[in-house]
Amino acid sequence: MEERSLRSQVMDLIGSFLFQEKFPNYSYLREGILDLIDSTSSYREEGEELYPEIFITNNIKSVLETLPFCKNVEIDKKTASIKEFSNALKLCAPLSVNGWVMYINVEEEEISYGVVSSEISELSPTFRTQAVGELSQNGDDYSIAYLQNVGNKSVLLKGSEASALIRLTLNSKATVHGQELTNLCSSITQDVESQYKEIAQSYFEKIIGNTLIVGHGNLIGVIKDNEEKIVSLKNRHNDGIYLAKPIDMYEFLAASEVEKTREACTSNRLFSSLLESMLNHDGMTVLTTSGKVLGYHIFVQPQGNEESDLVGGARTRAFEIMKRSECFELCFYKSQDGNEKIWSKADV
Amino acid sequence: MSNKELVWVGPSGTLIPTNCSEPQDIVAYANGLNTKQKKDIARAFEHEAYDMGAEYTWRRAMVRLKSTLKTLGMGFIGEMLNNEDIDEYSNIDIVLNDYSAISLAEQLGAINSTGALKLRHALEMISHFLSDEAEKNNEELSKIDASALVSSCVKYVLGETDISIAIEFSELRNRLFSETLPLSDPQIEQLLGSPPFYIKTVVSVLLSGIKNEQGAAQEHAVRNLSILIQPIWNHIPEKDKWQIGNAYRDATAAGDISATKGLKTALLKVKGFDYVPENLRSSTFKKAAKSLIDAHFTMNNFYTEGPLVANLSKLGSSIPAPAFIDCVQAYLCVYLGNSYGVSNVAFSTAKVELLKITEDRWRYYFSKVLATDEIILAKLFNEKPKNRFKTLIQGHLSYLVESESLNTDILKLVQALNDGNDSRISGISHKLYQKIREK
Repeated sequence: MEERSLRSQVMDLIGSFLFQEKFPNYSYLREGILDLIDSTSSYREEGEELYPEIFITNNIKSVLETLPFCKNVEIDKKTASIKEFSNALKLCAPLSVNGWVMYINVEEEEISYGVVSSEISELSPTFRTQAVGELSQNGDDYSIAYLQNVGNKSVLLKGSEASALIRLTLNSKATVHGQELTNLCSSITQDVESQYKEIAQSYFEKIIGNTLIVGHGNLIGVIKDNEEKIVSLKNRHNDGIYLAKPIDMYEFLAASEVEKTREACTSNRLFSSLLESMLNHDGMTVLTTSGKVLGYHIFVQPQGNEESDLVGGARTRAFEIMKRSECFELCFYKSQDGNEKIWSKADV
Repeated sequence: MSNKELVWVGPSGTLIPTNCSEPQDIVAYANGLNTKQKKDIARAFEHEAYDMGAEYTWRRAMVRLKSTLKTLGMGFIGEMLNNEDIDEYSNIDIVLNDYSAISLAEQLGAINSTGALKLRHALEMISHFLSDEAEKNNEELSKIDASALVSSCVKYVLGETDISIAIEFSELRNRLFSETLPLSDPQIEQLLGSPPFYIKTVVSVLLSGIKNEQGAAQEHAVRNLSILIQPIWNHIPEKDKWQIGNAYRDATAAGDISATKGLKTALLKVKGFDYVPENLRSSTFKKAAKSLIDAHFTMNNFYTEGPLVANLSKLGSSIPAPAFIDCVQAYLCVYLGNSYGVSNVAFSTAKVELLKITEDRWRYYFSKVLATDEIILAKLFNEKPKNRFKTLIQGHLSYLVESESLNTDILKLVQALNDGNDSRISGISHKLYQKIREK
């Protein structure tokens, strides 16, 4: 009888990842990471789903040296063992929210763990971007592995060189959080001023990326910021809330950058949190290509001539109707189980 | 190294005949003034209103200098002065004081070093004679002093119909933003062999490009800093290392990925992360120190320094490392005063704060900072500040005489201050000051 074990497959993958990332050969490390992957793939505490960001390194001092503004709260230091990885997760996972990232520093005999935050403003890049993303440049000083549940029982394992997406599901259609994020945010910032365009795109990626992880499904429409298009949208999709004064997210962001005052920073944070809540509300949220929020909680109704070939759940059908309504530059959909779809007028 | 071998050099000024000593005759050479302005100045001197004539000439000179600097963009000026409060929307007349305008004009080759030295002296003089204290003591500007001031203004600023930034500097600046220059590039080779004054100017130019430019210009600035950082790191003043670290922190806070990436690469090459401020506390100290130094170089400084030194001292004596150089420079400015004296209100506070500075921090200042601290070195050219520096060394810092970590020139300077040897103090401080600009 042929026997294939998911465990041995993942163990092999972790082993080759650790080798590529030049991690020291500690006896407990491979299995410790396997445990973390298994636990975080669907982690719950007190009935609430958690999506902790975790990084593992062999030299926390060197990691933080290049980020001197990083705040580090060490929680504990213990004799290294596989079991201690689970304890670290239990203690730190609930703290890994709002910009805090859990870390485990591994040594031959001991491991220490805690949480760090590298954010020094609401615009600053995430720890992931800084440690294993676009800004990572660790040389030979240390090895690093970043790990996060990205939805659908899938865990992203990323280092400076290697990366792996470990799917603990047999569903072949499952996608992961955030894979369409760059296209979505590029559309939302398409017509903003060039001065802060790059910053605005990163910022929207940060807010919406976070929303997609914690939310239970989303529908987002992006339209051109012109009167004619907006009137047409309101006529076509009229079952929802359109704000009397759209929220200009780009303006708040630019003000925060130019003024550098507490007031500007707080406004930016407050409206970002409002946008996150709107995006996670039932119905569709509409933004413009100049970074404004036009409305939310908008229920997409069929026009009448498209229903025959519409299949799937309510959100899937709504996404299909959005695509055909000729109002949007881009439509984005994330289902409750985490699958994402994107449609862009430019690609048609 | 002769001036011709420097990367760029400011003009030596308009030629005024040596036999021309009357202010009303000198002003005839001010081609940058119109006939009415010249007549007004000449009339003031003919009526022996020396202070009025000198002040008007000074104002015209500063307006011209500032309007020339303004053509480079206020964002660039803010970066050159390491002042984050100055941006494209700032008014140059409000944010740029005369002292900074002269320093910046020298840095960018609009005037040469001799011109800058003479204009700074003229500024100190006019600030004193227009102060409340001079008025209270019935001190008046003499004809000789007024003539010297008018001569400096005409020779270095008002003599030409148009003053401009050194062409070589403008060209290099353009190249730094439009090309990625290899170390073998002749202009870069020339720069690397230049005194710190030029290298630090290029660092400020690159940081300004990384912060304020976009697209290709920003990318070139990032790459050029990354190429230059290793060969220049050991030759730039400590203050400029902090400026690079600060730029990295600012770029991260602003979410500017391209700038953050470039600066991180550069800092990694020289393991310079010790120069990145950990928090914003140092900014408060730096701002307070800057206000104090600005006040020190403007009118009525003996009155305005008092509340500002109190503000700085109220922030506490545990000065954060990124702000230490700014704070010690500010306290020393107040303590040493200028050739006309000190602010009686501010002096005692500055002295108390200076005496709170620990031995290891003084050793750091003398071994790593003083050799490139042109403000404090220039203080030693004048009698009164020199005497007060001698008192400080003899009374409280004599242990530095035995310090092995000091470089030869600084050690000799400290020994001369401790021994009260005026001619040696003068000689060494001039030599150190010139070394910042010349080879």
